[in-house]
Amino acid sequence: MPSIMQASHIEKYFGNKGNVTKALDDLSFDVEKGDFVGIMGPSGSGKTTLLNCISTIDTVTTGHITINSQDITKLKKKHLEKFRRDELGFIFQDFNLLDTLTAFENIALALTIQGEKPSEITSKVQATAEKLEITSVLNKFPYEMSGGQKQRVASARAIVTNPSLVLADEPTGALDSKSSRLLLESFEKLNQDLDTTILMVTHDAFTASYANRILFIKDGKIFNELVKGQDTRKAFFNRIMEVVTLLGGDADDVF
Amino acid sequence: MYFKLSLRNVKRSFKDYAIYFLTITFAVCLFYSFNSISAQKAMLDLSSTQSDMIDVLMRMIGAISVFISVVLAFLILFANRFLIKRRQKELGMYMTLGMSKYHISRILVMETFFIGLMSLAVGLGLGVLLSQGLSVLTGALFKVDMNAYEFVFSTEAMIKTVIYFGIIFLVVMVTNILVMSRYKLIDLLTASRKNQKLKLRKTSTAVIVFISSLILLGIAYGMMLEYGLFYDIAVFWVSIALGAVGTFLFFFSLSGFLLNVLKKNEKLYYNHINMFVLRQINSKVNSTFISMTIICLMLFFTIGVLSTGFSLKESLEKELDQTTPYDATLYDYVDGEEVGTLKEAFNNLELNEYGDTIVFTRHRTDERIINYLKPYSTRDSNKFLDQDRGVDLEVMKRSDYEELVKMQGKEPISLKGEEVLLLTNRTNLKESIRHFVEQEEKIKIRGESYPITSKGMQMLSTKTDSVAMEFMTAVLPDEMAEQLPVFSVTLNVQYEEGKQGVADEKVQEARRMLNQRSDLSTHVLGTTKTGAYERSTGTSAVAVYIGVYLGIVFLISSAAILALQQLSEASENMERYSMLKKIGVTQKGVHQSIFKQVFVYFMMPLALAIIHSIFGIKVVNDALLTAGQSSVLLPSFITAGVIIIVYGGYFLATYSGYKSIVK
Repeated sequence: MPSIMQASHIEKYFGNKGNVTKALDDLSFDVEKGDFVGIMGPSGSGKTTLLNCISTIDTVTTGHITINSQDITKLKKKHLEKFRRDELGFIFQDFNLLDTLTAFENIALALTIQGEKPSEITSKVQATAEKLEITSVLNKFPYEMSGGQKQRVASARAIVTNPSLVLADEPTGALDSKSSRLLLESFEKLNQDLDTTILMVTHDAFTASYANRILFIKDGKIFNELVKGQDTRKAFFNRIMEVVTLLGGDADDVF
Repeated sequence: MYFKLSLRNVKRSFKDYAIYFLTITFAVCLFYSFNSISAQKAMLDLSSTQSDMIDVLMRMIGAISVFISVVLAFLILFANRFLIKRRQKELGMYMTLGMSKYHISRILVMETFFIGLMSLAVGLGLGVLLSQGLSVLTGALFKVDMNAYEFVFSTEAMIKTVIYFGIIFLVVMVTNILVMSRYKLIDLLTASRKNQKLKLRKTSTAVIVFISSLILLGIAYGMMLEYGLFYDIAVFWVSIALGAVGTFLFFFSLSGFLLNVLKKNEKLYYNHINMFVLRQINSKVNSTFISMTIICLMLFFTIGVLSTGFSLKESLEKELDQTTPYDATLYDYVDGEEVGTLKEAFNNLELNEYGDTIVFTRHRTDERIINYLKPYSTRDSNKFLDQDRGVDLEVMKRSDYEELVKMQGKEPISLKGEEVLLLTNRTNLKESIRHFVEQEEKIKIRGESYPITSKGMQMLSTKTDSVAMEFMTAVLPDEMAEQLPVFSVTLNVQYEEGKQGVADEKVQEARRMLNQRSDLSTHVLGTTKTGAYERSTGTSAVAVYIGVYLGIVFLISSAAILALQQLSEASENMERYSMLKKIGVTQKGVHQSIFKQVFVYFMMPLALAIIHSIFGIKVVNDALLTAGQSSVLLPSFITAGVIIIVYGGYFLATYSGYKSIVK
């Protein structure tokens, strides 16, 4: 499997002289094409910073991030915008749908920004909507939809452009458990059927259990890595819970 | 501490306050300058009539200023509400820190006070500068010479400005306190997170309403073009009302209609983020169509008044040159025995010690002029003949005609035998009568047929009046004219040089005296040339002056409302734009989208106002061409310049403010 994303020795410092916080501390990992990677970690572990750096919203202090054989740490601002548009798809915790547009238009927007031919748009949006089972809400406005529907529309927007990498930041954070389950099943389906590469940040073990591989981050470093392998989701979930318990603090810290 | 906090707030949020501050400053500046006219009198060389006119103007401006201050009060309240809305989160934070509502209100009151004080000071400063220039305008409008330049400063106007704006600021403060006391903390803190619900209109409704709005506007334009400006005041108001309703329906349905049409055009709709821009505009216009309508009508008023007011005034004055050939005129409509009494009375006035006098009679024919002119009507005369069916042909003696023309220092057309000459002083009848005398050999008056002179017709006024009312007069040989019943007796005086002042008074006195005589049953009318001029220029100057005042205030209000509506939307849109950036829209793309949005929003009411104005100006221009010749071209360009500067300035300020809010 070719590697679609590589992070090598990335570091991110905040603050100034005399008062430096290392948000990311010499972090390295690879994501292969068709992978579904979960990133877990407690608050303040640096997982959002990591996501921001990968998504080119923020820049690393040192190190390199390569996506689709392009070193994004070396790209100019103008190219970054183009890169973000063409290579990445985003799913956010609070959906980030434009409330003035219908679901259809929200999805189509990702295509029009890329300069897609108008004639192609309808068919592409329809096809993606079918995969995510949202064809019935395409003509509705965000305020007319449930949270789960909104998040699936947002997901459709993220994948309709066929990005190299889909970045999901706490996608289930604002959903109830039923909607979460539906959404994650769609993710699984996208990952298996379309070979979509997904990088998902979450602190919820249940959500993470849908991934194939999980990186645990603590204090800016990779603390542990779990691979689902041939496990059932339930077994994988239990393994995740073990690590989460460990992550919560060493027994030494308590005493 | 609170003092410091509010002072720092004003400094910090200067960008937000910029439009607010600018608008109030402009308002203060205009308010002061237009109210300082009485002080400008010092610089102008005014006659007593003109001085009276300025006093009338002062009173009218005083009254209009009350109205204007109400408009400005609403504008400032609106702007203030925008500022408060923008700072809800900040105010919420103060509350969570434990500040009481009372203290927050105090901060707001102090901020209003600072801004008020600052803009009042700057506005008054600018106003003093502007009023220097304004006195030049005053002089030009009233046709008076400027005395040596004097620095104009009106304490009275300053006090008035301070009091009026002081009251407005008090109202603003009280509203702020009321608004604060009604806020709940949770609303303040989560203010930015509310999702706007969209009002949607059905496509079919939008299309029907849109088409009917176009029909209404079409009817309004058609009526104006067909009947012109002076046909009938009722027709005028009906077409204005139709136009206003049409404008309202236009904006009511515009965005829904446009969106649906543009959606059909996939190339445009699915091009970059056009979709988003269109939806933004759509939702904004959908909720602001009332203010759009008002703004459009205000702009129409501004453009109309600024571009036609001066020309209209000028052409009225040009007409006046035509209708005031003598220094003074007295006349009366009489018949029977009174003719002799009046003639004698006129001759005994002893006005000939001030110059040449002439007393002459006009005679009745009971022949409608429409019967002569109908086959030769032109577009101009048609309108006139239609409404004045009852106007009769009048007759005067050839000897009187010759003497009257000589008194004007011109050479009379020489007439032989029974030849008839036709006269008029109405521009809109000139062409018709000219055609008539060219085509017809003879004219029939009361059964008698007279040959028409081959030397054409003549534009001539036989008395001094402020309006042209001598429709059509036939000059007949004396003996033939005398057989007709007398219709009116007129006295004209042409002063000798240097006697104008005394003579004017003498004429007025003579008129009063005649009207007190018991043996004359009717009322003697008449005017002096000076009187006609001063009244006419004075009245039109007052109208133009007030038009300009209102026009500029309307222009600034329109631009400010649009700017504030856009900026208040900017804060709501901050999140939408950051979303767009997250999904890959470039900074440039965001700026383009903002530009398009603000531009379209500013242009929509202006565009319709311009279309309204094109028709309006055309109608006025037509009316002017028939009255005196005067073009609206130059004033139109000047108006365009004023609008580009003020409106464009607000547009740019809004665009850059929007960008910095979204950043």
